[in-house]
Amino acid sequence: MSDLDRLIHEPARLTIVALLSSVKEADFLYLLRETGLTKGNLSTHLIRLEEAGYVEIEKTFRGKIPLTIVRLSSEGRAAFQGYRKSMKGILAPSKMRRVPVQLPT
Amino acid sequence: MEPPVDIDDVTLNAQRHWMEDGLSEIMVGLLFVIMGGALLVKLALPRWLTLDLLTSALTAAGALGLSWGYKKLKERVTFPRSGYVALPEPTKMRRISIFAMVAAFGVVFTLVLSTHIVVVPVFAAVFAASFLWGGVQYKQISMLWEALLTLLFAVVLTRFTNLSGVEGVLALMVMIGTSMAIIGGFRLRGFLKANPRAQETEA
Repeated sequence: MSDLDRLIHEPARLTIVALLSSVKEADFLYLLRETGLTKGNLSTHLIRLEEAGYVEIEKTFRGKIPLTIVRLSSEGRAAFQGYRKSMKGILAPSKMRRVPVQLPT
Repeated sequence: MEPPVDIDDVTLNAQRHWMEDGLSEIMVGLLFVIMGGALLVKLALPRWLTLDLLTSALTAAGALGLSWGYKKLKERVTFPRSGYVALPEPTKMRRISIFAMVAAFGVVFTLVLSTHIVVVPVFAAVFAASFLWGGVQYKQISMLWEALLTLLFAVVLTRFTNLSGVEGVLALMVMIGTSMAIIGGFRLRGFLKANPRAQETEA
């Protein structure tokens, strides 16, 4: 349990990191739709992830509309892989416990 | 202890997002129609009239044009409405496996066609299985419909026409392509209705 990255384990941030792990980059609107968070909430979570060095945020414009591009950094990708590995490690013993024990007859 | 979100499901979202506007279906459908149609026309023409190079050039131009149009439509229609996503570049291993699959399909295609057996049901089964797999994997109902329609087209072609061999397969391609483009069109209409253009996205 102590191996779990608490920053990623939070549901909203885990969703953001999982979404970004499967793409090269995505914009704010995509993350907003897919996570179902409010703009303010999403911004806050992105800032926390950026501060941890897990995501890179690039602010630009598409015409006159502001465009925020977000991508997972190599540290973020490694942290996400580590998190998944830790979760598998935690889940594996509980699966083993489900194996029925054969009692001697 | 379970992860707080279904990670495997979330990581498939990008692919689902890429397909939700119906543009992929329209483009692949039109590509099938162009390829199948061009070859059918070529087969229907007298031998001395067939211009192999011209047919191939038209097919290649059609494919390139569709690819260009697809990117432009994504930029103008999809990204402003549902967000921009860039899928990752395929890894070397993935490129090799895709190339191997396409090459294997080409070899099987050529071998089956050269045997002059009834090939329409075989190809219909392959296409339907592919649609079925895609529909289940990416949770796309439209692909399940396409699988069903493919099997229906095969029944129509084998029972009500005397098209078999190469002509049958090409006619099947045109029918599948048309149905994909129509279904894609309906999905695009639904996507446009459900996703008005976002003016301001930032917090």
